[in-house]
Amino acid sequence: MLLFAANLLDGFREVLTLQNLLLAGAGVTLGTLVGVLPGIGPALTIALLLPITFNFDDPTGAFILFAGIYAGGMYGGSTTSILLNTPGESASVATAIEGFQMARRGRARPALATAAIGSFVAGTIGIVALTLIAEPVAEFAVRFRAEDYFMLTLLAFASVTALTSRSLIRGYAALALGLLIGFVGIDQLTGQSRLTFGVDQLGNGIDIVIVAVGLFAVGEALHMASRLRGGHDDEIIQPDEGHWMTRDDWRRSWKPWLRGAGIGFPFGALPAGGAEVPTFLSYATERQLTKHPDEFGEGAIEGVAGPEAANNASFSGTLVPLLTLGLPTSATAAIMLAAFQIFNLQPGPELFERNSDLVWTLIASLYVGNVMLLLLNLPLIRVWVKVLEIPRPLLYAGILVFATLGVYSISGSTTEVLVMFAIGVLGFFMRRYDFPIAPVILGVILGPLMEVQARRALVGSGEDLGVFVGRPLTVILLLLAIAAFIVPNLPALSGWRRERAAAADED
Amino acid sequence: MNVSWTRPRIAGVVLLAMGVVALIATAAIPSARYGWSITGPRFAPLLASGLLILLAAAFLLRTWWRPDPEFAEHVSREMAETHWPTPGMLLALLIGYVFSLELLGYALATTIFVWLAAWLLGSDKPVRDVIVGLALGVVAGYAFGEWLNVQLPTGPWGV
Repeated sequence: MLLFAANLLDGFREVLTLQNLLLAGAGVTLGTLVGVLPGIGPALTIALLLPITFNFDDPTGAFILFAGIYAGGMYGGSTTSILLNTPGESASVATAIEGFQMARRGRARPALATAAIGSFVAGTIGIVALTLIAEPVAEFAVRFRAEDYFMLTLLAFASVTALTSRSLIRGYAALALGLLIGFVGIDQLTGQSRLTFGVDQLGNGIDIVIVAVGLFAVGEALHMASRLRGGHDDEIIQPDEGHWMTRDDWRRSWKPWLRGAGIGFPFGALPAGGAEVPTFLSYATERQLTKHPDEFGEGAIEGVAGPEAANNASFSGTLVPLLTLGLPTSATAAIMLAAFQIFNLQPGPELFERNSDLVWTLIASLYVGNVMLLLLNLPLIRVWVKVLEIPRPLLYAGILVFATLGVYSISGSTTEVLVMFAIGVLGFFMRRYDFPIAPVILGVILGPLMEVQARRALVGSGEDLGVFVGRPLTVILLLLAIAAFIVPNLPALSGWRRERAAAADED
Repeated sequence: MNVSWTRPRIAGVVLLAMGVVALIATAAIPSARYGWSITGPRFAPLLASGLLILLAAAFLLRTWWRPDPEFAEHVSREMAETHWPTPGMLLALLIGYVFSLELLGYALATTIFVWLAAWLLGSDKPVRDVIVGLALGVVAGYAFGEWLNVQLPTGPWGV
């Protein structure tokens, strides 16, 4: 029982070196920056930084940086939702509902404060929970065989697709596209080249960086380009006046923070993932429990405190399946999995055995990053408002320069950059026709893994499909995957999913 | 509600075509030993392209049978707000940028790209854009060469 404490202490010793503190600081600052800017999120940022970290001697530093970006992106996203009413990510949509109303009524500072402090409180609770359950889950996961991993992947596909799509047809079509992109290149087991259409550069497959940068950066830039001409400048509310939080604000905030953490972490930790559901669940809960129902819709502080806390706690939750099972449940987590693969690390039970220092340093860095974020956010709010004021044309020109640079620097060839642009065009049209992006990313990264696991299981069983129903654990996972596929189709839930997706789409 | 289904139908046909192309490419995977067996290299792409074809067909079907008016409205709203030449020109500019990298060198190509892209996206401050582009090109080129050992193309004048 005390082992984890000793491990964590070692992790802290490692993090509290100058280099790692600087990386954590750089990560959370960069994360907040891109979280604040509408249109670029942590997934794109980490994808762009992947090529740079190829040159790191020690993967630990890279993961400290990435975890900082992921966490910072959430803090930054709430600032934009509150001051600009354009949520950077779907997980911030719930925050925007009440947060923007508070800001319009001159209560921007209390809204920002309850979001930041709530993120800190819930983030810390989430990280403590991660510290406590990561190792036991990893130990349990030792029993998982190839067929179980196959089922887990199936479960992740079903749940992420259901959570991110308004229509399941479009969601699964996006997943199928991602799978096909993922299968391009040399087959890992037989060495045959697949779906390369005779292009030599595609032999090594289409790198996840190319797909993520194409879909997020180029797709988003083309989308902006199609609208800028009819452009409207959004008004930014300046958070200059008033108290941060009054005694009354504190009194009304602390329970939603704790409840948000309680809702957010378990949802993130389930291999069903995503931060969208827990934030909306938290919002609905606070709306039910509030003593000020009249204020909801017009700027109730509980409606900011709860969802923002749930958002951050679910981030720590997401790391549980990512680290212990190698199962990403969001686009950002999928890119982080790609980062592990670049360093030849396979998240899962073995990671805890072989690279235990890396895992615990990463977890310790989350504690440190969370404190940094609190210190960084409120005092520097004017800086973040300035960031929001960067002119859009220049911002998108810059994003495209970095996108091109990132892909060009890993491949050194124009072919890959052109493939990235083509995927960007695909992303542009996917936006118009309301196809979700997250299933594509998940398909690219998990598709080949799932295929290898399935083939391994089948080779091991002599091509007997019974291997997928052979053990109770496998059957349970299969049933969960089937449930994740069926449940969102139930009439009662499909209406709710529509509403939520509609709210998430108001940008 | 009278909404146009033409564009969603075109999208559905394109999606279907992508699935068929993927299926043909799957059949072309050399797999003498395994054929179409479930442990061979063709099986997974077969499933994925089959899935895409089925879903594209379902997507098309739903433009006639039990259509979703919200979706059609979403698409026509997107189309109404779209100014097609701008993203088209931006894409052309991007392609030109990639090919000009080796011709002009990283710094100069980036400067020109940022200037033109910002102008295309509605900026009316060309001097500022050129300065930002130049700074970006020089700093990124230097940083990548110096710290990351990635040599970006230098063009005829060494920057």
